[in-house]
Amino acid sequence: MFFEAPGRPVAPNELALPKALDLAGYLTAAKHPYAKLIDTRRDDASGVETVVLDVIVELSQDRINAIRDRERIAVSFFLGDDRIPDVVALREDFPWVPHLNQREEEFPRSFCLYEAPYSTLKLRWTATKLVERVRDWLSLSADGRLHQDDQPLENVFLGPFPPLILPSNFIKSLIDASSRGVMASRFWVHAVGDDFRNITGFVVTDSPLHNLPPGNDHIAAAAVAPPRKHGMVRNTPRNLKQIIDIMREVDIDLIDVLRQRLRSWKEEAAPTTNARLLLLLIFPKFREEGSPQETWEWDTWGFLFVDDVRQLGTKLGLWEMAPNRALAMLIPPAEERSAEADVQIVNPVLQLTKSSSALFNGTVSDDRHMVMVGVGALGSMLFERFLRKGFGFWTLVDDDLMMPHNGARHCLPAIAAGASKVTAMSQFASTFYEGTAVKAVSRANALHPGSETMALSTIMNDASVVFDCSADVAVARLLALDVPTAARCISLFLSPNGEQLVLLLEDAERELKLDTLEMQFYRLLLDEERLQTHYISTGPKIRYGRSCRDLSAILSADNISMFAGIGSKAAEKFLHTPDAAIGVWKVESDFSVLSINATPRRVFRSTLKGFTVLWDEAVVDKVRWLRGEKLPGETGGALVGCWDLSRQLLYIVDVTGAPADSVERPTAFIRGSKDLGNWIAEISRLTGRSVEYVGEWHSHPDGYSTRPSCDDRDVFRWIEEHLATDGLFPIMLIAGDSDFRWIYEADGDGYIWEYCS
Amino acid sequence: MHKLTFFPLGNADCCRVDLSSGKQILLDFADVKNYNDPTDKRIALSKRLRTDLNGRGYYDVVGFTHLDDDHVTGSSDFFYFEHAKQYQSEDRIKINELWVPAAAIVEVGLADCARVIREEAKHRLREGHGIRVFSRPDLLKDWLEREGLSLESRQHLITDAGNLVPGWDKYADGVEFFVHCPFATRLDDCSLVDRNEDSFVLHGTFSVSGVDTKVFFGGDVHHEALEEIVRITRYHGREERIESDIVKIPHHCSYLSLGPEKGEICTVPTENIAYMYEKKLNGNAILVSTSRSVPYSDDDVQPPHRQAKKYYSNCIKVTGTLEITMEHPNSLAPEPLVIEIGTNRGRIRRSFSTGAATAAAATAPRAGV
Repeated sequence: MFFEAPGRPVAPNELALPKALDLAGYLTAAKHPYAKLIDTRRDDASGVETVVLDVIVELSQDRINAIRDRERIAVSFFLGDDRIPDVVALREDFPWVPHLNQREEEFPRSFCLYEAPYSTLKLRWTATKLVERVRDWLSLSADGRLHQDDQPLENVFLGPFPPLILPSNFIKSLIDASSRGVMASRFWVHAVGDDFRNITGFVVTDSPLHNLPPGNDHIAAAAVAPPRKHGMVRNTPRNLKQIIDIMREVDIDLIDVLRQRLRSWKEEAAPTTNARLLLLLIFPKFREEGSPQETWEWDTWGFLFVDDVRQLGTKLGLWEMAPNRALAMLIPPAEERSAEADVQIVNPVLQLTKSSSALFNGTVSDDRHMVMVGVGALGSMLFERFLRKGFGFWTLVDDDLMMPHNGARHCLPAIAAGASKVTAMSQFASTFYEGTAVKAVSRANALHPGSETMALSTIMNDASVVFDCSADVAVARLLALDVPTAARCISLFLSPNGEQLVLLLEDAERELKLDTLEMQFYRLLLDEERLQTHYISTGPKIRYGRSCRDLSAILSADNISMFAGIGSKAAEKFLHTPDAAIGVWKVESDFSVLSINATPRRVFRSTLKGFTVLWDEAVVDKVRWLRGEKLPGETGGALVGCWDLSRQLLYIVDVTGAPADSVERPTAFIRGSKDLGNWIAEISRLTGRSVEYVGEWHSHPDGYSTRPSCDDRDVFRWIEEHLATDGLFPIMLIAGDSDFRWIYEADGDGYIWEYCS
Repeated sequence: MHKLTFFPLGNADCCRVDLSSGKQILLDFADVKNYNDPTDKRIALSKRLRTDLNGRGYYDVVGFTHLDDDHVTGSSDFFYFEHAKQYQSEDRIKINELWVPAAAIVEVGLADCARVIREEAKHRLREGHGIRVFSRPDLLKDWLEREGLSLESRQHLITDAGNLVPGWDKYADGVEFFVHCPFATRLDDCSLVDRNEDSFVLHGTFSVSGVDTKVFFGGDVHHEALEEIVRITRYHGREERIESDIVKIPHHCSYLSLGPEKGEICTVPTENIAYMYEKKLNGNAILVSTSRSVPYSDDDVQPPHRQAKKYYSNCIKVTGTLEITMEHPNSLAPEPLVIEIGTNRGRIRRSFSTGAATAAAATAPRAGV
């Protein structure tokens, strides 16, 4: 009925190991209603002490596994407490369930209770927790819930064995080959280690590698078992005979398979007879009968033979080895001595791929074509984050060369100095996982592509998303206004002192492009006091070369890494929605990060006399609010905005209210000047001199047209006179109760835009 | 998920049914604890139920399977009764629907709580609401006529054996109840004689996501009646109504609920009772004895009887469970026995609170000088 626990009976208080004594004492005190002490024992030879107890388990009436509501358990504690206590079920017919420890003997079944290392568990180890974990383990096993749907089975328990790194499609190709009747798939196994005597793992490739020292080569043979519902290997084989026995259970004559393969290797590739054999046994498993092959798991076991192929063939009775090491085939084969062929288990692990890397990051691989313009400090670090989570197939665009000082903050090391950044990044990306996420690189200068113009245009046309990490506003304007692409564009850049990260993302339809989002970001700086250090706080610079432009700002690599993480996560999240986004993150002196988002506003535009004025809903809202506050009087102020003279564009970013000395009457407005100069200067300063005075606005009372009066035309001429000094166009806005009127010439009626437009 | 809670009350009964719909049914109420005896391990039922109600103030159904003390004690102090002002204080727990056997209407000579319940049942039947009487309708005809009421006008409040309790649907409410008792048997002259009219016995079928869990609420029925219940049910081809996953063992594990003789080691049940327990218990069955700990000797004539326990233990085989309410989780500190009913049928809760969790949930003792 029950297996006997190890050792001889001793009284509970005679136990010497503290954890054994603690558990026995806890059970003796009857503090737990569902656990009862049965026996205490000691093995004098090993010092192992065992506590036997009965536990009562919470069970449903319908059970997946035949756990009983009362189970007899033995917990063995080891001398020195350097190994996790062994917890076994003593019931002789305790069922095979997932999460059992693999041991040389199948019984008594040993529970795999914990995933954490024992050194961690010891910190909070109590008898109560052990009893509760055992009860919980049994309860979940009964329900079939201990093994979650997304967990692989036995492989996770092959902890102490050296890893065998397999190509990601290795098992599938073996299965396919097997299904076509190909039983002699051949692979190369390369030992990896500190040196020849300290092999730490093995890498499988489908061709020999020549850059490894001789003697490390192995040759692999695989056998695929018929698919079955549960894993079948319940104890750990130690020699070939035990493996043969396991395979016999699934009707595979492993001796015959190996003899065939060894014979063919001898005939076709004599040098491989000096290699050692790696035997892979693959057990396809499904959770439910009839489940499609795509849902199967491949329970793969790897066995590395101590013998080389030459010696193994001898033990298989296939040939005899002459004193000169020549092999003489035996026909028919002699009796096999497989019990003498010792094996070492290796732990097969599939190589990382782009999609599995994404899974490990808790996301899903995104295979859209993405372009990154600018792989400097922030760009390279962002790109590394994207690589690791399988985000995008990339084309990298940058004409810059890696310089030694870049190594301080760049993803690449200084040792790459002198190389093209994109080429070096592409090589770097190819080392991450099987395959690469870099589709192409371009050493073009995005602003001045020259002979690369057509190639760059093709890249942009082919892209789904274009990342601007150039830290140059001209590139963002180029992407928004000049590059004919449907790709959604996103800008990520740091403040000059590296303490703020800005993300500007176009909407999926590209109604709001990077240029207009840039203007709304400037307004956010004016409105949000906490961000107003963005442009005005700059650190010192360091000269790294002899040219007058060979200066580099002092930026913290910590900040760049941190903002690369935030930017990567934010970009991925925002790109999953169709909306435009404006986000700013600021690191505070206590290392907390302030996050401020602005909702992008709809943009309106009008082309007037050859140049285009653009304004957005926020400007409309503010003008209407200021006007409403002063009704029935008129009011007004200055228009502030941003010129793009190369493209004949004027962006209205904001408006000021009326200075204190203004005259605001029902039929007249005279804009005063008190403090206005300071306001404009401050606006310019806060926006890095991007936003400046561009014209005037004033309101007309309700019921009056926005047609300019004679006085209004005089004001326009006054603006014109002043701006002409700077070579800029004059503009004036008249706001009525239902419309805006943009005045751009002294004698014309201007352009009328109604609020509901 | 539904939940059955059996309270440790010694040889007395109270089972609460919590349905996933939020409805609560209380079958029997016997607050029998001796509050002056610190060694009495029976639960303080009124206090516990109030705590669990958490201000709810009512049960959807309160059923008294019969009116013996071990099923009604303390109810006149706990429930709000509509028939008399003295039972209508604010803190009393209201009963939306009262379930009683026929005896609660027609029986005379009752005292204390049983009398109060009888008066309440009569009042509700007179008023025509909030009552269900398990009875052969004709049995109540005389009483109704004496009250100036016709049987037809109260027929909808009376449920005879062999029927489902109206208003409870397995799909809508997650449960249906089949009435086994009180029943009548036909004599040779074709006249009917009422049997066991003082007690009702129900069979509940609980449904969760299409999985049925069958519960036999055995009341305090004795072997003569139980034998007849099984025989009649088999006769009518309703085997599913004696099939069970969970059984509330009748009469506190008394041998008299199995057969006429106690037996030396194991009680031998009558033919049909043996059929029910040996052929109609589903796998991993749960049997619940609402009783004291089972003694090893025969000194006490009162149940529970070790010979009956032996029989029930044999029936559940090695994988089933026999739970004694005063031994759950152990006899030192009995706690309510909770059986969750879900897609894997019944599951006895066996949770264990760690010391830290217990301390955090309790008021700490006074500290300081």
